[in-house]
Amino acid sequence: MARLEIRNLVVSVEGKIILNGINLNVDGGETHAIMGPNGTGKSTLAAIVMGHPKYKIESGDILLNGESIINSTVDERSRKGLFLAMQNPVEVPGVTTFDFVKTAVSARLEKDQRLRVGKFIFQFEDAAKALKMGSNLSERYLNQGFSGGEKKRNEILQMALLKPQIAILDEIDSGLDVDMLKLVGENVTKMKSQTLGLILITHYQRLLDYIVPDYVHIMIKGDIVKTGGKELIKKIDNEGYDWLKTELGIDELEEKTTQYSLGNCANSLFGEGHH
Amino acid sequence: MKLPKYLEKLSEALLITDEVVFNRSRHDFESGVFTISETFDGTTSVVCAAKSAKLKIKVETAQSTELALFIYGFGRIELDIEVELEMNANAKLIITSLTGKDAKLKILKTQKLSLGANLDVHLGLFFAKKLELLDRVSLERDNASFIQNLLNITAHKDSSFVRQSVEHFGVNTISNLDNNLIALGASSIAFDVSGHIAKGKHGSECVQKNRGLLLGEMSMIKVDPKLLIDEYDVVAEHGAAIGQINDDELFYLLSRGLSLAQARRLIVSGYLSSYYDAIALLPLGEMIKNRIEKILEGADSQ
Repeated sequence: MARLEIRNLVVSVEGKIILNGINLNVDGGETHAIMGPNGTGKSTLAAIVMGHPKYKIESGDILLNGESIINSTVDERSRKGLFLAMQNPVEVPGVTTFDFVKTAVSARLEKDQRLRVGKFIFQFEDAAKALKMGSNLSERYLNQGFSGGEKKRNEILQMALLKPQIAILDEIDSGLDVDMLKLVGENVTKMKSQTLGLILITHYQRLLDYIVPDYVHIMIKGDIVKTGGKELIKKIDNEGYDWLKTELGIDELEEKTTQYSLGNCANSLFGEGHH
Repeated sequence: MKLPKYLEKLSEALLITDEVVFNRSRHDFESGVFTISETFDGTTSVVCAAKSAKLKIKVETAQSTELALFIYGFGRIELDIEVELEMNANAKLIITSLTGKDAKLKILKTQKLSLGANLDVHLGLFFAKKLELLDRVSLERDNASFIQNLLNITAHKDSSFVRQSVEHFGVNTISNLDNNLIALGASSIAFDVSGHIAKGKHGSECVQKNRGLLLGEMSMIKVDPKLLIDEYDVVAEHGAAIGQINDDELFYLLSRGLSLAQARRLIVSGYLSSYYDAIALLPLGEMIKNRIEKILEGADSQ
């Protein structure tokens, strides 16, 4: 059974600590939701697990199926069974969605295996149909000219075809209208199995109405500060995070700003005393 | 010049060398000027392996032509391509230059389009030691339309200089230049692109898109797009995006399990796809594609 373990993970970017000793275990068959105010490190956590080179692991470890992956490259992590549905999927002009997904699926095969393209075409078309992506998806350039909702559904399509062991969905609900949210929720729920561990990063209850989590974690200031069940979602939706900050004695999340003086350009330009 | 076997075997193609013109019966060839003025069924292939040649392609009123021109040779090559489309004529040109790596190629390409004429050009310029292209388009009458997709790849210490100018002299005229540039090794590419809509030529569209990919540590791409617009009621846009492979693009592809080499090749293939589609059915299409891929693979392994 798949298992992702994040152990005392401390991470920095440009010398600044942004994750403060995170611990999280996700087993196959489990669905974990991570919620929290803006700028608390939720998406950073997702990017680090996937191996984004921008971040530096100061201490701690990430294990997939008992094996440390912190020295694995991004593509190795993917081939080992990790998947990240991104908040802002990039556009790749000139590369068709079909060619991209086909290359990604082929990259997972053993050296002596070859992709059966005919069978794969049917699988691709079925997945596209299930997500209402339109019949010409295969010919469309990857994410180019896609609406926000189409980009998110395209992430789920890739997840369906790549069949990961642990999938992290980073704000998959943003850009989706109510109908499409339901559709994505149904598709992801269909993929749930004893072999798939899910991490949902979200701000809103509405996604979790369709993909029901087993555990809810709240992240504040780079750390998971509370873990509970579904009851936490409703409380956050009704009351926000202030009660939790009070309960745990966490200071307000101050926005770090730098003040700049505009000087007296206006006076110089328009002459003294001109306002 | 000794021609490679794959060119000699092209019995269906018109072959122009310094000494001989094969299958010349259907065409005029006088004083070094080769004129094509007929309407063809399907695509006609012309292979030009001459040191110096002038090609006139004239499409008569309300006729259609599809022509694939393959430029081959070594050393200094000069080519003058003149395209004239009469009223409501349509033409599709696929021009490929895949010369020897020592070639110094100079191309003068002029296009004149009359009332309602449409010209669609795919232009692939590959691996010449030195390339100079002067590309002039004149949309002389109303409703004329010119669309060109250009792919230029340079390697080693090659250099390309391309000057493109489009003049809109008719109302409701359309021009769309889509330039895709890849510089490998220590090569350099410079594009000077200008579009002009004359006063009173309302309803016209003048678009220039330039994408450049730097794949060598010492490679350089410079694009200078310009719009000179003397009329209010028009659509005019230009842009140039030049850089190395985008880190976010790379992370996205790697996160799906593609190796670094696969991800780079896929991103590069995005620049090539439109040109490859255009040459897919040509007799030399597969050969051209294989040769480009081989050179790109060599560059990957460096």
